[in-house]
Amino acid sequence: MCEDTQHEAFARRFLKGMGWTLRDFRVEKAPQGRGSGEQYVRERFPRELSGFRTRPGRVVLIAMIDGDNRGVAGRLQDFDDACRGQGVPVRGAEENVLLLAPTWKIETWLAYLDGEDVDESRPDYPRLAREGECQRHVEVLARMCRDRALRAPAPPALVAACGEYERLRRLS
Amino acid sequence: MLQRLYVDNYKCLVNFELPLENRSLLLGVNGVGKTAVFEIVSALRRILVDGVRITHEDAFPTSTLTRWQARDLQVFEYRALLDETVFDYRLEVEHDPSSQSARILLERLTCAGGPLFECRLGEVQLYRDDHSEGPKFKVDRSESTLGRVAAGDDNRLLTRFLEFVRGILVCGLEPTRFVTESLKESQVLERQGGNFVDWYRHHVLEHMQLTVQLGRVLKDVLDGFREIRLERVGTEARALMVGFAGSNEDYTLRFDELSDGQRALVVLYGLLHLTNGQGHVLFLDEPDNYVALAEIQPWLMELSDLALPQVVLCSHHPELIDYLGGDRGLLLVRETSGVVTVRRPDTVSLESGLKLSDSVARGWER
Repeated sequence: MCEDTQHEAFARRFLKGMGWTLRDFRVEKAPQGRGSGEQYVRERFPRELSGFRTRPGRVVLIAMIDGDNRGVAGRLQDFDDACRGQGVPVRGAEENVLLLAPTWKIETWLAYLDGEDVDESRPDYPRLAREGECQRHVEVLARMCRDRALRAPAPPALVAACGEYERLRRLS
Repeated sequence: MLQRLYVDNYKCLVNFELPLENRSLLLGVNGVGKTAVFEIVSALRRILVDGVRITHEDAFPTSTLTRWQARDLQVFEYRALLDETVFDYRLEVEHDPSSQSARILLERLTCAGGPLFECRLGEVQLYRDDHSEGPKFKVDRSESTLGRVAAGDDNRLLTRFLEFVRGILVCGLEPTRFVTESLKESQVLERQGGNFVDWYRHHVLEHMQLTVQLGRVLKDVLDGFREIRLERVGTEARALMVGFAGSNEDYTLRFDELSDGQRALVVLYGLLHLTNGQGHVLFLDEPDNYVALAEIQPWLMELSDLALPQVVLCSHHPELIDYLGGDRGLLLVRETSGVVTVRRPDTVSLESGLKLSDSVARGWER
């Protein structure tokens, strides 16, 4: 689940680089529209989580939204609140559910992977002309991931995302 | 990349302008002109590349004039961005409904505003790449002359444009038309994909690495897929065979022994991988036909990821609408005047929880 095409392109290309294949993916992307894509994903998350729980051990659920001014901790809280609001148990520690919240937004990560020292409180890192141009950023991240070493100083939201990915490796 | 198509007085398209991006999805209700766009792109290719006459049934016969107008002049324009340079092509066709005949009134190609070719009332003026005047001569007005200009050292720009048009593939796949045996290779895939095996054979001879890559990808697409290959079944004839791993032993099927959906998948992935890096522009009409629901999004992802310069799709399928429609959707709408216009689909309120396809199903995208 993701809030826009840039999120999808980044996450999916990264996972492909890690060995996932074409038919391993199902993307639920927030539609373009009036309002917040983040809110769309957050409110839809409990339904997807319920569906995920009907396929134990066979599916991984990944939800990705921009951290904006909420940051990673705030977004994790938002997901939990959405679940409670819809009467769905929140994510369990042993569930293959990854919650990613690039902060302020995904472009912060792209700038970091381009070699910049980034500031997560800055909302204005530039967008790519085409979403697919993130391939080079994904390859940098994949190298860092294989080495298990993000370049310091890494944005805390990306450190948290790597922790989420480790969770997947640990549970699978 | 084709940046713009302009059409006037063709079926339901009057003073119609279509801006295009590297990935575009044409949306709209039935009868609004989506397929007409594909017909025009195909017709321009037939005229410029295959040399068909202007009144050929695959080109612009008089029956294609807009019925609710009394005008006899049709206009078609391309704007293409090739190697960072803008090319503009204009074709004016003058019809005589009483005799069902038609002639070219004007055919013109410019590059960055400077002339490369002009044929007005049958008088051709060629220009060199530096836009200086070249030869002048008279021609038959019933067919394109631009497409017949021989490549030379001083008309590389004109040749570049023609190569671009040659690379445009327009398809609406019809698996029941796919022929399994090939007698010869073909550089061109037919509109319904009937000669896919001929086209595949061409790639085996000319672009072997692309067919190898197609085989790799099909392993992810078709359960148990092992290989795809041509098998000699006559002196010249080759049949397309698809090998699978069975639970007990491997087996091979002729292409026509696969299901319609499996064959559609082979050709859909073939379209992406056999054209990858070859500079083709793909126009695909309803690629979702025959394909299982779960197979559509993976193909769209592959389409998004590959280095294809341009793909234009047309579909009513929710999977395409939701995956591409938000970013790449172009909604064709018939206004009360009867004229068809193009706009972005009206954005839905995300708080409603509706997807774009939900909105389209309710007619709220207009």
